Amino acid sequence: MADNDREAPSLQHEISCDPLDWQLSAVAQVLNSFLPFLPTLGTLKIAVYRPDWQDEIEVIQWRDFLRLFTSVKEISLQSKDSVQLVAPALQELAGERSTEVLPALQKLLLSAYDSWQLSESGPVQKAIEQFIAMRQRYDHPVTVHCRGSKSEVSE
Amino acid sequence: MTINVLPDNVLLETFDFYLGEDNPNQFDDGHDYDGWQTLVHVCRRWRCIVFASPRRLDLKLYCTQQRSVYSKTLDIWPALPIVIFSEYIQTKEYMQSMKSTQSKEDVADIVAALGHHNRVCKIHYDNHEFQDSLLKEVAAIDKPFLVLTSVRLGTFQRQNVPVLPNSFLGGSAPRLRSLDLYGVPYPSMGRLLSSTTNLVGLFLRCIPHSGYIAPETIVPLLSTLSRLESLKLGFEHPRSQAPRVIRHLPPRVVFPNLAYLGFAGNVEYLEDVLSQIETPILNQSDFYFFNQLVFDAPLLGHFIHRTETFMTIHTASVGFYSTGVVVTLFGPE
Repeated sequence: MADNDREAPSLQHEISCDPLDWQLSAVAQVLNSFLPFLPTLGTLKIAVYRPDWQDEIEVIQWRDFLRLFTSVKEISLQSKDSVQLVAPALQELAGERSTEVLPALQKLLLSAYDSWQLSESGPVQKAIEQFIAMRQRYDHPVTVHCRGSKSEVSE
Repeated sequence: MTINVLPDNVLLETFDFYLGEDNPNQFDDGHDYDGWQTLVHVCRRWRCIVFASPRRLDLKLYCTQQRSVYSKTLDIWPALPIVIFSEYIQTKEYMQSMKSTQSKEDVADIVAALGHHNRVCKIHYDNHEFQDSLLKEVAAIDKPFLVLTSVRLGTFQRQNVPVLPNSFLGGSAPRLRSLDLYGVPYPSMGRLLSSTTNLVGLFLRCIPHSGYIAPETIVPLLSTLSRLESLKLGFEHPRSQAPRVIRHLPPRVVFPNLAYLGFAGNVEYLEDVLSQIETPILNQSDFYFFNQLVFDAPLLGHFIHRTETFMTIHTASVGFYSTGVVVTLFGPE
C-alpha cells in the first residue's frame, strides 16, 4: 500500500480556515507543538496564493511565525505576495532583535523576482536591504538570491 | 511460420505477460480485468489453454453496470472469482435533473452479484450522486465473504445514510487486505476487523456523525491489525469532544508496518489516537484539521518526536490558500 522504500519522509498538516491572520495564528500554534523536535529543519519555503490579503495582517504576526524556525538556514519566498508580506516583517527586525528571529538564517531566496524586478520593487527592495544591513551589523550575514541568478543581489 | 507452432507453455507464458498482474489490495484502474475474454475468443486452443490455468492467469469475472453477472449469463463461464465494479459520476444532466442514473436494474444486478459471496473477491462501489438506492441493500449483506480481498464503498448521499451493521459481510472476511469507506458509517466494525488479520489498508473517510467512534475505542479495534501499512481516519464534520481527563493509558499499541497515516478532524481526537500508538516505520502522514480557536497539541509534538523517520526532516513548505493553510515537511529520499 504505502511504499516506504522509495518515498521521502513527509508530514503534511492542513488547517481549514479562511482569513489569513487566522491561518497564520493557527499554523504557528500547530508548528509550535513539534518544531522544537525537528533540529535538522534547514529550509523554509513560504508561498501565499490568495489575492485578498491586503491590510489583513500585522507584521508582528509574521514575526511571531518566523520566530518558530530557529534552525532554518535558508528561506525561499515563492510568490510575489509572500515577498510583499514577509519583507516588511524582516524590515521590522531592528537592532539586536534582528538576530533573535531566524538566528541561523544564511540565505534568502526570492523565487518570484529576478534581480531587475527586485530593483524596481521599491519598498520591497528597501525592506530587504535594511534587513541585510542589520544582519551584517550584528555579525549574522544573510545573502539574497533572486530567480535565475547564481550570484547574490546584495549582501 | 504461424503463432500456432508455439507450444502451449510458451503461449501460456505469453498470455500471463499480456494479462499482467492484478493488485489484490484494491480495484486496480490500470488492470484489464477483461483481457482474458479477448484471448478465449481467438480459437478453441487458446480458450483451452486459458481455462486450464485460471489461477496462474488470475482470471476473474468482471461485473459492471454494463455487463452484469445476473442469473443465466454467469453460467456460461467457469466459476471464476468475481470483481464487482459500480461507479456513478455526477454528470451535467444529473445536476440539472437530479434524477439518479442508478437504475433498478443496476441495483438488482449488483445485489445478485453480491449473492455469490463465496466467489466475490473485490467490491468497488462509488456513487458520486446525492441519491443512493443501493447502499441499503449492500449494508444488509450478512453472508461471510471468504475470498474477498478488497472493498471500496463510497457514497455522496448525506442524509439517511445507512449504517453498516455488526453483521455486515457476516462479520468475516479473512482474506481482506483493504477496506475503504467514504461517507459510509460503520461504528461496529470491530467484529469484521477481528477476522481480517491480513488487512494492510484501512481507509475510513468522510465519516458522518452516525459513524463516530471514540479515540479510546478505535485503537483497541485496530490493535489486532499488525500488518496494517496504511491507515486513514477522516471525519465529515468537526465534533465537540468531552473535556479530556487525565487517565492511566494502557501500553501503546505498536503498528510495526504502518508507513502511512492520514487524519481529518479535530486535533484533540488525533492527539488521543497518537498518544496510544507507536509507528516505528511511519514515513508519510497528512493531517487535516478543522478550524478551531486554539490548537494546543503537545501530544502531536511528542508523537513526531518519537517517530524516528521524521527526525531527518529538513524542509518545511508553508502554503497559504483561500481555503486553508498547508504545511508540508520533507526529509531526504
